[in-house]
Amino acid sequence: MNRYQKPAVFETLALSYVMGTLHGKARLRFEQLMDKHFYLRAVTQAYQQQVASLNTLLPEEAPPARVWDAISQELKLDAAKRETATSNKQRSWRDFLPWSLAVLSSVAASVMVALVINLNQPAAYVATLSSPAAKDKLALATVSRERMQIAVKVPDNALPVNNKDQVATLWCLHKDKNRPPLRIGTIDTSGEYFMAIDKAAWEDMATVSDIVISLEPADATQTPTRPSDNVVFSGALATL
Amino acid sequence: MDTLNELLVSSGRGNTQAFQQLYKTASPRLFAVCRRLLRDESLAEDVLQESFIKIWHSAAQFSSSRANAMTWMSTIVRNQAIDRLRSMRRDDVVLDTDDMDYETLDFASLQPQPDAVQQLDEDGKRLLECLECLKPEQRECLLQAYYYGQTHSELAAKLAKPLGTVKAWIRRGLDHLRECLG
Repeated sequence: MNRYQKPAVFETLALSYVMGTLHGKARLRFEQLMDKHFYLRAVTQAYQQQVASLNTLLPEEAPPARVWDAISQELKLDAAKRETATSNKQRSWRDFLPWSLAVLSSVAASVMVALVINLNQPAAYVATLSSPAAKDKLALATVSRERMQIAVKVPDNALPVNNKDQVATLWCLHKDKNRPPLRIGTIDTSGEYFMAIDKAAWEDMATVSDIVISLEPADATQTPTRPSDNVVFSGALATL
Repeated sequence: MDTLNELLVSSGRGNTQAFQQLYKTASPRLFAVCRRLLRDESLAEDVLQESFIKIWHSAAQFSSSRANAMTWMSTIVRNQAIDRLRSMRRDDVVLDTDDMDYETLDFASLQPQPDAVQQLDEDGKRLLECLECLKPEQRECLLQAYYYGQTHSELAAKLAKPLGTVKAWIRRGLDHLRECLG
């Protein structure tokens, strides 16, 4: 398994999987590994996002009507539609709006919100954090706009769990090196960290270049203002 | 694309009309993906049908923060088609590849039509730039594998080159592409 934790190996495998050049048992084996390992899924999803544009170049071809008929029959969609229509009659007045108008309003609202608030903003940021000491260990940090949350997952046994004198501390380093590092919080022995963020913190993520986990003295009289030299994981933050 | 995301999220909540609209909007592109990978219209229809049934059952798991709807659905469709190709190869089913129109890569020109460019996002433009940097034979192999699901052996036979040469083209092409996209 260690082989698959080396970025040069698993990134090439992920890209090969996405491009369709991984065949037969190798493809099946990679799918099984993806089921087990979050970082493989994350890298594969990132490549899928990048490569999916190739489908945009294909000229569209409308499938024959029988395909939808078969799907509708298999899923019993007509019955479900009738059931929905019946239950809708018992709902509040707002649900009596025609469906198309409701969807149109929803889409229009989303577009407006996207235009006003989220123009040119990514859906998430992700950083694959490598360890200078343990080359076969990778941690993953994600910042999700939908969840408004920073999440970090460190592999089991990758943090000095028995060392009571030190605490693993999460930092954001800014692209502008004149800005001081931002101390996010500490990671306990579970290796997992979640923190809710607000809109300002989300927007500030665009200015972050790297995510770092360092070991800091647990009994420090003052909260550290920058990571010590004892960096256990680090990696560049990229948009997803 | 926002509309597709909305429709897929609504489908995940059991909204059948949203699902029907999702199918109407997305199926022409996804059918084109199936037809090229499978090179057989009837098989392509089967796989599109299976894929949309899977999309309906899995739609609740879709998260617009992790992928956009078309990427998410394309992945399902491609995997269904590749699985079907794999089982056919295992069972030694011979594909009827007489329809040579489906063997070309003209549509994947690196100088796409203006309307296609308009639909490409930043990732897409970057990908085309990276593909342009590859050697023609590396690019040809990667695109043939992506669009037509061709194995190394099939590519070697099609291009009349030794298997080892084709494998090396693909490996180097993937390495260059990874470095460029990274």
